Amino acid sequence: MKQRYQNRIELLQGTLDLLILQTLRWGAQHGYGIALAIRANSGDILQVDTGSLYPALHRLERQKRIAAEWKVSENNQRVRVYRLSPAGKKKLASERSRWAQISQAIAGILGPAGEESEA
Amino acid sequence: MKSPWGDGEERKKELNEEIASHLQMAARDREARGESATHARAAAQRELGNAGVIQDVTHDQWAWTWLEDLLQDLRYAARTLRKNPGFTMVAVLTLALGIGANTAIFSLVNGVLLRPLPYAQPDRLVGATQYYPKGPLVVMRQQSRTMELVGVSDNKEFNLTGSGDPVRLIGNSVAADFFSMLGAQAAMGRTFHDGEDQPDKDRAVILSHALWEQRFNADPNIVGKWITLEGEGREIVGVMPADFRFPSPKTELWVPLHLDPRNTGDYWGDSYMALIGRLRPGATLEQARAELKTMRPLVLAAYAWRMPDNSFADSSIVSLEEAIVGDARGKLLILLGAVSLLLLIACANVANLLLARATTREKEVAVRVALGASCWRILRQLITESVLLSLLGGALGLGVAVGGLSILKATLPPDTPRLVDVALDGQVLGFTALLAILTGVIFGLVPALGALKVDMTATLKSGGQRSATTGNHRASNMLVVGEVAVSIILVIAAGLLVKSLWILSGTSPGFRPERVVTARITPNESFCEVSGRCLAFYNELLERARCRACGTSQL
Repeated sequence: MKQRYQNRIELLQGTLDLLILQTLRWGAQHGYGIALAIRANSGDILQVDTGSLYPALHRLERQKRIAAEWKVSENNQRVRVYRLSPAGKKKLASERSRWAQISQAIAGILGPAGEESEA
Repeated sequence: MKSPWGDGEERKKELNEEIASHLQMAARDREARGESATHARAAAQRELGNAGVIQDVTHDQWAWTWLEDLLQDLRYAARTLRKNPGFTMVAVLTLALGIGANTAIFSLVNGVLLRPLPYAQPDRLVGATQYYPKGPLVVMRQQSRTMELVGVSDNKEFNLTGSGDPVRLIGNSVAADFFSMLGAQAAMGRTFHDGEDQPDKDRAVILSHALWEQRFNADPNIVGKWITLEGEGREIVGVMPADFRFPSPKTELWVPLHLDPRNTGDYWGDSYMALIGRLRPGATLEQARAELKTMRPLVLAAYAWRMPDNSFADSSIVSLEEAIVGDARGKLLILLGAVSLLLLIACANVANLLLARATTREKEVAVRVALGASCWRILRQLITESVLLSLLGGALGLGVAVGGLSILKATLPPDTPRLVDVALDGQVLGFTALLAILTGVIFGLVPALGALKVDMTATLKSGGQRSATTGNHRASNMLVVGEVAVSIILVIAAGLLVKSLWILSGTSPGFRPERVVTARITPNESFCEVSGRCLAFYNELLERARCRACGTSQL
């Protein structure tokens, strides 16, 4: 059971980290809020699994890319809120450019492949 | 900065709350969309998945932090040490010597002082500080309400004849309930029955495991056989297990005390022996001491003649462990103190080496601080390095300890109490590991703290040049001063020891010991019982020996 979760995290690790960091760029947010934002911004395509989200959040916190603190929400509930750290901003920038490279590379392989073979 | 371990429980509680708040928010959103409260709660739960597993996996993200950091530090430390083989070798050898000496002495202390006696309920066993003849033992055994008392003679020599070459064996006369009092069982056969120490019933003998193996070829049918000891037949009734070595590791056999009141001289006068006992349930050591005092007049009254008033007046009851170890405790603790000082010197030496190297590493530290490493992180890196160094020293030190211990065991006087029990066991290994880690922290801390006090800008600007800081200089100087002070203590102590040894060896015995030889002859006790026979035997022996001597001198 634990192993299954662990595998999924590793699979998603790179992209999920990127999505979390990107989401936090718009301001501090708690775990549930991050999950909602990712879902909404992806047009309901990406469903973040809670079993991946919290390990990722705590790993990022450990790596000091995000910082956490307890706050009281508008519903008068204690929630743990995450905020992007300077190191996290740097990481986000590098991850974004890496993602751009990768998606470009993959697009290069997939996209014009048919036309090239005809040329 | 939070410590990387220690706050695990706190984090678990927070994590629990965080997941719970997630669930609540999800449920509330569903309710807002029109779901019933129970349905919303169940759906949110389903969507979340197994909260326990999520918490576990999330918590694991933290659990690995310090381990990963530690591994990284260790790898880095190993690389640094490999790059400086000369420094590493000197430091490791120095530490090996210090830690090895401590391990060897600690295993002595552990075996002799710390480990409990290998008998049932050892903390209830006691011993008297003075020796008593048989008569007082019998009186006190009847009177005492606080103790079960038994008597044990000192090591005596027994001539074994009739089975192979005659040999002289070491044995002890013990009360019949000696073994049952200690809670010791025979490995073969039985221990003594009650009353077997009475005259005419005392023809039994119990063999030690070693004697049974060596002299009797581990004969499985030995019990019931008769042997001749001191010219008298005795039946072998039992063999003790190999780990039973009381009262001394040299003991090869036990015979019952011969409690014969008719033999007045032996019973009341000659047969002084140690008294040991077990506190009865509920009785305390203080009560036993008080009782010994109240029993003294009864003992003196039992004598057929008037004893000096102060007979047995100084006797007291102490724990058996104390009675056995006696003054060896002080000597051992002095020895332990001496080797701890030795280890301190080793620590100071290595710390000084590290300090000297720290100046060359200032730049590395400065660069890392500039790159954003926290002080704690660098401190940990440096301490990891010194602990790795001391662990290597400790591993090598174990070798030193094995060698040192065998030398110690061979050179210590064989009557050192419990010497046979001394060994490098799990406890000693644990001690060594602890000592190594502690040592690493101690000698690593000063240089590491010094390294952090480095003026960053100056160091970075100075390019590759070394810039010794004044702080390090002061630490280094203090280390040298301390080292010299401790060394002087050790040298003086060693000098005093050697001097008293030298004086001892120079003491004149009052005759010229050169060309003087001695021989020990022990005729059987029973042979000497007939008065005059022993005297005649010795006279004749001397006569013949003289004649042999005059013969050789004439040649």
